[in-house]
Amino acid sequence: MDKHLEIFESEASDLLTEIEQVILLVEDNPKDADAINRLFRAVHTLKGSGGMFSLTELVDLAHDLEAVLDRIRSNELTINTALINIILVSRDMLQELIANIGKANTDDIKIRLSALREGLQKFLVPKTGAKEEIASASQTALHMELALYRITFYPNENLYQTGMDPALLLKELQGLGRSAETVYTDKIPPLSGFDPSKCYLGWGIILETDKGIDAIRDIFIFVEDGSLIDITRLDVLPDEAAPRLGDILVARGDIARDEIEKFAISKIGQRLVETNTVSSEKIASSLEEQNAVARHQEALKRECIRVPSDKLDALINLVGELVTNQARIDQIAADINNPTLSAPVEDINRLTAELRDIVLNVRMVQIGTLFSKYKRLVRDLSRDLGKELDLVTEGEETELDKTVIDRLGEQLVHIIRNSVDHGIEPPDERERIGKPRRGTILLKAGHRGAHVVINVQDDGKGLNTEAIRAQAVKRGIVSADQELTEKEVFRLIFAPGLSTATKVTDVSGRGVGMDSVLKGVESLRGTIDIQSAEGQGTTFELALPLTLAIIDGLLVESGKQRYVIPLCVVEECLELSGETLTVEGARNLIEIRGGTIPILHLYSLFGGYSGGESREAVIVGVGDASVAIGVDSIIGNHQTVIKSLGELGRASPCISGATIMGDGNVALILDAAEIVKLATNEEKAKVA
Amino acid sequence: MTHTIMAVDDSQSIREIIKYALPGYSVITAASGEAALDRIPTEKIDCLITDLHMPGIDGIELIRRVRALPATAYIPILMLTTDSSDQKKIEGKHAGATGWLVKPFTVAQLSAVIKKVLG
Repeated sequence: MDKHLEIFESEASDLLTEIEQVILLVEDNPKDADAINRLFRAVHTLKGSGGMFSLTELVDLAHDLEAVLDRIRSNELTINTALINIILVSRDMLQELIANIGKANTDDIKIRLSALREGLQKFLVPKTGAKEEIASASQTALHMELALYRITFYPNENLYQTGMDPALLLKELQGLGRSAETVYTDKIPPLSGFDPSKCYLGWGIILETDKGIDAIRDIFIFVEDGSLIDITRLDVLPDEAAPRLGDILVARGDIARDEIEKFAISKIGQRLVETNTVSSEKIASSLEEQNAVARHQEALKRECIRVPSDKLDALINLVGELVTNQARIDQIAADINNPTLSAPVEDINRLTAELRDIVLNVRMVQIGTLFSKYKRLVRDLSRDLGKELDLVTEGEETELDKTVIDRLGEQLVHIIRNSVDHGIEPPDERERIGKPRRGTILLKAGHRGAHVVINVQDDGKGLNTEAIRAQAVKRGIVSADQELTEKEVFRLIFAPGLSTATKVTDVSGRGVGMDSVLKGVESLRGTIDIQSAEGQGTTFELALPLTLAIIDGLLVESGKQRYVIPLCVVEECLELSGETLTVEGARNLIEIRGGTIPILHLYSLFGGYSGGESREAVIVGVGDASVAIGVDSIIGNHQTVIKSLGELGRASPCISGATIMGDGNVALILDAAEIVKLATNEEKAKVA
Repeated sequence: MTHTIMAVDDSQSIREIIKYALPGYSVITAASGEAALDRIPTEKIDCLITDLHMPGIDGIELIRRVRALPATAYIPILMLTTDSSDQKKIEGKHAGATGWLVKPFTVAQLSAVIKKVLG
């Protein structure tokens, strides 16, 4: 702008010279109207240009001077020496202000300026109302709430003669938000009275914008004269049913209420058009409005903020740290045992727990997002395999941690593929055995305690226990004479390399899959249970923890090392005495309520034998199997923020992670599923 | 296609600023109504911006005469006014102006108004 400022300065100096010369002419000849006009124009130009450079003081002074000159011009003021003097002083002040551009005005200038303006005011009759600025077509960048507007626009017939293109207005409206336009042609006269230079069109526009009504008005600012412009904000409540077409037409004034009552039947729009009561265009625009209202309601309901998930992860990490430190403070407060300290610590405890719950909840995603992907999968699979079946989903609204959902997707694909391929029979076979031709796979999610349970249930042929067993024996997974319960047989399908598929298809049957499904689910600290009845179908039940980041755990100690057992697998805790502990040959069992279950001592698993036997045991259950974990002592509940151990964690499959304790020590988190597997396997090996 | 805009103002700085503010257009300038009327027949202009207060043919008269020319009968015409009063705007609209811009204006306001009438 510097270049322009230079031009302005040189122009201003010309104008000031002109002002000086002309004012002296006026002094000599006060009746010289032309001279006064020249004077006025010079000041006016100076004011206009000065405004472009935000020279406020200059503009204000020029404005006052201009007003005085205007009064002289219109013969409201008579020229006298006092007037000539003040005009000259003003001119000099303008010159001073211009010379001072870019520098702060000194106090001296400010004082003289305000005195001068006061002097000029004396020649002005105080006008009522302050200087009013009418908004020009400025850009309203204000962000307001999203709202819906109905705009009716019938431009002035002479619109084209003012050089205005209505298409540009509509384009500008579209720039404000989401709009739907309908052209009204009802004002077009018959050809005999048609003037091609005139604009006969009208528009009905439904606009959804967050720019506010003033921004809409701004668009029409140049075409207001002689045009019909109606802008109405539509009040839309998110939970109200979208208004009926008839109500919209009445609200828009296209038809009277009593007239519409005659049409109070279905297909009202069609009937109104057929009977020429309302033009089809008006109906079309009203229908647009109805749609827009419904859309807008949707938008109101779903006012969400998108946040990158890594921000959430960072937040979760911080809350994790907070929970950890909270535990430390808790412990310290308990040691100090000072009531003044305990009270606020308890409060912080509660707040932290609330914060934790809210933050964890933010990561929750509806499982429906996952389910919807499987519809296509099932459709394509059934077509490829020549099967007829429907996928029915239930409980789509069930929420799960986003990480769980992301990682669960693949496992569910395997299970569903298996059900389609091995479970559901071909349609002809189904018909033959009296089942409906179309099979059904039910995908259902729901809550059970701290778990989300997902069922994949098919109404197919069920698992063939004999075939599975035979296959397992053939592969050397179990021995031919080994006694197995039905459940144990079912679980064999998770054994690596086992497939009972009579032929290998592209879909499944390569024997990779079910074992990886189990691994995948267990890595999410989940479990899989199978129920199946021959000829009736199979149900895979996946139980998954709600979240992965923080769990409730039971803190135990063995050999001076602390461990956390996820509370969700703990069935009960008991004290071990000589009687409960049974050693049958090499077998480690404990007697509990008349039965026996295997016991696995943590010291034998991780070392750190403290000399004596385990004094207490925690019984954990995974699936149908239960195992007692022998420990030195049970400490109690523990809020466990799970930290990954990375490479170190692979040292033992029985460790799934670690957590930092209140006192800063590390406790290892036990993988209950692995421990149960280990204990039952050991048990079997010993029996064998 | 580059639109040609004619800017008419007796102030050189305003003319320069209009040129500067509208880089996407071909801007030709005239320092008076007479000069503008001289050039219009030889230039194909798509839009006229004119000051209202000018010695000689003033803005209102210029608008009236430009509208009367067949080549410019339907082009958008914008008036520049320091007066925010409605009186001048109505006079200008009657003469055939499409719209107005109140001085002082910002570069953004000017380009918004041009966009409004030229697309």
